[in-house]
Amino acid sequence: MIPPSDYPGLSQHLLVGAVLFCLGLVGFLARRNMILAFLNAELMVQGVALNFVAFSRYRGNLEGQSFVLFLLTVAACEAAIAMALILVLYKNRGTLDVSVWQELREDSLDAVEDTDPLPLPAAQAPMPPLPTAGLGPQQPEELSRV
Amino acid sequence: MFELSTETLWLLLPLIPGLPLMAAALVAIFGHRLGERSHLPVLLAVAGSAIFGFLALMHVRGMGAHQAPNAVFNYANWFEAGNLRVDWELRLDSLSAMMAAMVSFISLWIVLFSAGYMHGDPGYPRYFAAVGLFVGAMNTLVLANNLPLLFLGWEGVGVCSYLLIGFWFAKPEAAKAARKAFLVTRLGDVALLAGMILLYRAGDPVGLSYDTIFSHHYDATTLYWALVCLGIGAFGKSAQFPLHVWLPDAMEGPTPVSALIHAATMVTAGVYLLARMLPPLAGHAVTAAQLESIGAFQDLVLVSGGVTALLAALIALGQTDLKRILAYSTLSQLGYMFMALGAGTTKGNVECHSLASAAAAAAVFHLFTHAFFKALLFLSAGSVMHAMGNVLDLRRIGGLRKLLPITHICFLVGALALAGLPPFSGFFSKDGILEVLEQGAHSGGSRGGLQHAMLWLGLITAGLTGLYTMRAYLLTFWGKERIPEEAGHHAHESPAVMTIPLAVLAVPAAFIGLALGPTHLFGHFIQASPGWHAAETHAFAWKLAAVGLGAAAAGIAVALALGDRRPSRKPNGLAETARSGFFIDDVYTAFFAKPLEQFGRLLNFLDRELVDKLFELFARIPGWLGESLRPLQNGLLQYYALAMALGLVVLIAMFTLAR
Amino acid sequence: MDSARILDSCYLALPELGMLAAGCLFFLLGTMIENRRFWAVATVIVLGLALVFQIAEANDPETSGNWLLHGAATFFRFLGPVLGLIGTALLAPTGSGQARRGPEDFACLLVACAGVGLTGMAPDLVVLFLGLELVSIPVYLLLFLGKHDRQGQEAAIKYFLLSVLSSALFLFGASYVYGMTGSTRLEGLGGIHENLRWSETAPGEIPAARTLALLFLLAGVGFKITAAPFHFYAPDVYQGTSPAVAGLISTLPKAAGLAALLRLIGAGESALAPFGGVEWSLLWILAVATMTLGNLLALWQNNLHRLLAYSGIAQGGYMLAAVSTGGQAGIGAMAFYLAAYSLMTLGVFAVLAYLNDPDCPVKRVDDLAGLFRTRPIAALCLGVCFVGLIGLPLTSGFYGKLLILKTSIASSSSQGNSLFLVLAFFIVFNAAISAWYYLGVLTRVFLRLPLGPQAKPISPLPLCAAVACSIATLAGGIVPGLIEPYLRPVEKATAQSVAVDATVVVTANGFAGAIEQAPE
Repeated sequence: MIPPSDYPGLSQHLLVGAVLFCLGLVGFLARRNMILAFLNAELMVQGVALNFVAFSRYRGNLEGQSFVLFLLTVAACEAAIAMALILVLYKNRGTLDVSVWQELREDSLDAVEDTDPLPLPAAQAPMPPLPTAGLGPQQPEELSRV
Repeated sequence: MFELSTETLWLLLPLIPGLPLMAAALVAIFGHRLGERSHLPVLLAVAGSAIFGFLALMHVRGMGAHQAPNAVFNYANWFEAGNLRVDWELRLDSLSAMMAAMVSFISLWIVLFSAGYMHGDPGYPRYFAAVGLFVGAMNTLVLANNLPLLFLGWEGVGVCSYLLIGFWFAKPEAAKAARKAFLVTRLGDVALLAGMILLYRAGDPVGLSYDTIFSHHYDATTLYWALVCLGIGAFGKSAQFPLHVWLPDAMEGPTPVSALIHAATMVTAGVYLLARMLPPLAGHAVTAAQLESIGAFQDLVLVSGGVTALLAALIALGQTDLKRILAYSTLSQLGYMFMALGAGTTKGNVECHSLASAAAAAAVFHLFTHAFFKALLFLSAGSVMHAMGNVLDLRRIGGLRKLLPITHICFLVGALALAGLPPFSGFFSKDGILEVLEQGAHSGGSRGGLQHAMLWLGLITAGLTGLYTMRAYLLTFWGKERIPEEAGHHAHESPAVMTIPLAVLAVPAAFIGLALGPTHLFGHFIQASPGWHAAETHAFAWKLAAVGLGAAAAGIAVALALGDRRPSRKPNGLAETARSGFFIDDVYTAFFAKPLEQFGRLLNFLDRELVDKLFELFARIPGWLGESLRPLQNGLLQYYALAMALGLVVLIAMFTLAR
Repeated sequence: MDSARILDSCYLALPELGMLAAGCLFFLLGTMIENRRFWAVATVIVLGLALVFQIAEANDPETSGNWLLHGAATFFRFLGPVLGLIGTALLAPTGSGQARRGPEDFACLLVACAGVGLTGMAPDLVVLFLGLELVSIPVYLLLFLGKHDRQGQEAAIKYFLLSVLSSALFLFGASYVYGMTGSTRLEGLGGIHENLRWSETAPGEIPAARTLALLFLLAGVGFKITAAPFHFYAPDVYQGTSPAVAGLISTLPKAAGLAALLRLIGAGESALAPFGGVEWSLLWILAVATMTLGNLLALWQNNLHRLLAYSGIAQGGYMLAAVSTGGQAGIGAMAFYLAAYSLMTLGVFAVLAYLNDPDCPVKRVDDLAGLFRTRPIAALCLGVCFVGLIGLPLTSGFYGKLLILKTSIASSSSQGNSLFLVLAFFIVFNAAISAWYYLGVLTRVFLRLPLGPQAKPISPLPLCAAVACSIATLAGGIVPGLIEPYLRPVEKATAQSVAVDATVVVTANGFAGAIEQAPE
């Protein structure tokens, strides 16, 4: 076993990793937008990646860094699936709000209602075909709470 | 010589019980589709069993006296508990091969008969499924090589008996009889289980295989109590006094079932069990104390058998229902077999072994012939019943010999065999039993006197048997023709599907005793089983046979003299006593059933009002908890994520902060 | 790095790599051949070849190396393809949707089976992580492909997001383990204490970081095992998807999760050596909470899939209980119970898949009323599997529970810890509660009359699978002696410690080694 090298920056790195992880977790719990929830989960993974790299440096071997390579690959893979899935879901309900998906639950319970719902987006005209060159039409910003 | 390879036997032996079980499963599952064809799978499977059983029998016969000491086929481990190891293992020797072949052969013809008898019954598939299950279980019982496996078959036949007695469960008597049979035999089963436990606890190289039991030296007390427990089990199954009360009521089942289960096969399981255990144990007993134990147990068997034989014969005299007469005659004949099993001596090791083997062989021989002629008698009675619209009351039927010619001849053959007239089979086997009793009486020892008394009791019973058998025969088939109105206008002989089994069974009922008895073929064959004392050829005991024949003939003569005098309907003290089975049922009711019922009522009250309420309270708690936990699953994804995170936090707090 | 060693190492994992390669090939060629039967047969061939290879190579003492190839690993490598074969029969009938034509779901199945095997044989945290992901990612796709309605999509998104969260938790734990040991090798876990310099702890004390890492790892694994409190997704996801996919989700991830758990706690080394004294009490708590919660929540279920989900949660609790007892016997009991549970649950879902008719769906327990009269074979299979899940004698479920009880009672006496007796009590108590809802289903199946029109099965294949599962369940109960010898190696798992090879191929270590040696 390679002896641990003298690496004073470890604590700071770990701290940043842990902060990223916690921020991701809080974001995952708080953001109702599905894309953002997923990105928050990715943020957690990035915090972990930072941990790995820091530990790798501290231990003086490359195992941690190679772990990070795999980790990024898997994250990319999941991102692809996430986008495909979220797109289908958006097409079905017309919203990215994850809390509308609560049809599957104990049948004795009522659906949880949003007591302070967002205003419905103004009815949009169907998107005109893009001109051959130039900018797309102006889109209203999507509302979200948190 | 006919011999099968070990591999063939390995494959063939489990099929003997396996085929009927598979057929039963098939009929149970597809019964509603098979409908009136439900008998076909069972018939084919039982035919297969019979053929395989016969092949196995021929194989053992071919081995002659050189039977492998342990022709055991071990298939797999069944279970292991502590240091008890029980395997799926089958045993092939003279006794098991004979029993398997006999059971399958008789079952085959009874299944065929049933196909005609049960025709049109709505429970047709259910009936055949149960019969298939029964044949499978019975074959398991006889082929098993250890007591737990035997017990499996034992319980299996008990369940089938319950199902078939209560086959017409809408009839209250049938349901009641089924319950009674089940409960009374259960009593015996518990004793059997206790016997197994005793043997297991006393055994050193632990196991309940026959070979380990036979080769172990039990101390005398354990041996005695274990045998008594096994004996009580056998009494229950074989309806011996004092556990005989269920058998007459069992006649509520369909008649072919009475023939199969309650006359030819299942009730002989007790005889089989004791015949399986006694000779090798007697051969292995060394000390005087062990011989005494076996002797004391045999006395018990002897008395129980003797009392049953005489009592049942007396009760049979008072019965007016043909089927009940046959039921009591079964009891009486089983009593004979138990008397034979009780014959023995305590004088010396070799004598004890030799006599016990001869006695068991005699019992098994009577079991064998009895199976044929009693099945024949019951099936004939079934045929009469079929024609008479389910009436078998001797006061209402009579003079049927013209109407039912084939049934008449077959019944006559069976009756003569039962009465014990030469050359019919019953004569030789009954004579064999009297012979071993006489040997026991003469071989002296402390047990001679009792056996001498039992010999006389057997002779008296033989006379009574002749009397009631002939009387039943005469009243049914001779005298003025009486046909009850239930029969309608078309009382006629049964169809071929029912008469062919009668004719087939009549042949062995008539001649098998003559063929195997005086020639000592049967005795030599059975006593070649490993652990038994080889048979010694001796001259036919003419004197005893003549006395026995005289007794039977006297009975028959009385019956002939009585002629067509029907039992009166007026109550008459003595006859009433006999008819009611000496009030044994009433005694049981008054002394056991009623107090237990009252006690049960009390318990029921306590149970319902106190215990149930308490347990209901406890039982509500999980339901209530479950209901209160349901809001956890509210379907919101982020809520779930939060619960996971919080759960993790709680665990972290528990494991890092708490220490 | 010599290529011969790489090839050798690949050869040892040939079945799993083959299944992965076949899965990729299926995805690629799926657009060309639309004949579903062809792909089903191909799947069976691939799985069959994998099994044949396993049988040929199993217990060969020469084949050690970088992979863990003994005991528990062998068990999981067998279990994966066997479950896959049954799963193929469940997936094979063509539904109505367009997407059901292609081979994508078979490809997912193959990859997931490979994942179970790889997790079981993982020598390294990286492979462990990849193995778990190889089970998770196909399951996302299966959920998405399984049912094309709102419920199916809801199930997919719920499983997906929560699974991503759980893998993040797992990775966090993994990063700290790496930091403490300086290696991602799993054998290195035992050496945490010696290598720990950056954390100031008195000798003999268990550092908090180690416990923390363990808890995060278990959170990730517990999600797969559906251990409380990580079980929430299960009922919703099962309810939302088709019976075939629900059957696969209830078995493959659970097997992978338990395999990972065994690898993490040292695969049966006595008294859970690597992490010190924390684990058994942790697993004890998880086991009791899981089985109790699962059974209590199952009591009120009307929806069959939800009921089976809760039943699966509870059964997972029994397996955790077996692991928590520590000794090798506990691992063996867990393995037996896992195999028994997987076959029984797949049997039930196979019957549901068989009855899966879009015109009269079988969703609620009442929809099964009178099944015995209309479809006796399916009803009998259901009966056998449910009797097994209750744990009545003559089924493998009974024998498995017996083994678990035996080990927990034995370890209470050998370790002098009465908490294991309490555990045994909880198991018995839970088995009693569970009998209530299982018997409720059986009553309807066997004693009630059919309520409405009955489903018309599309294909008999799922029924064949159900029959096979029932026979296996009965065989495991009647002659457990036949199966038990195969579990012995599971118990011996770590007696033969795996040879550590400096060069590691395919795994992260190999890459690291390659990078390290490259400059010179």
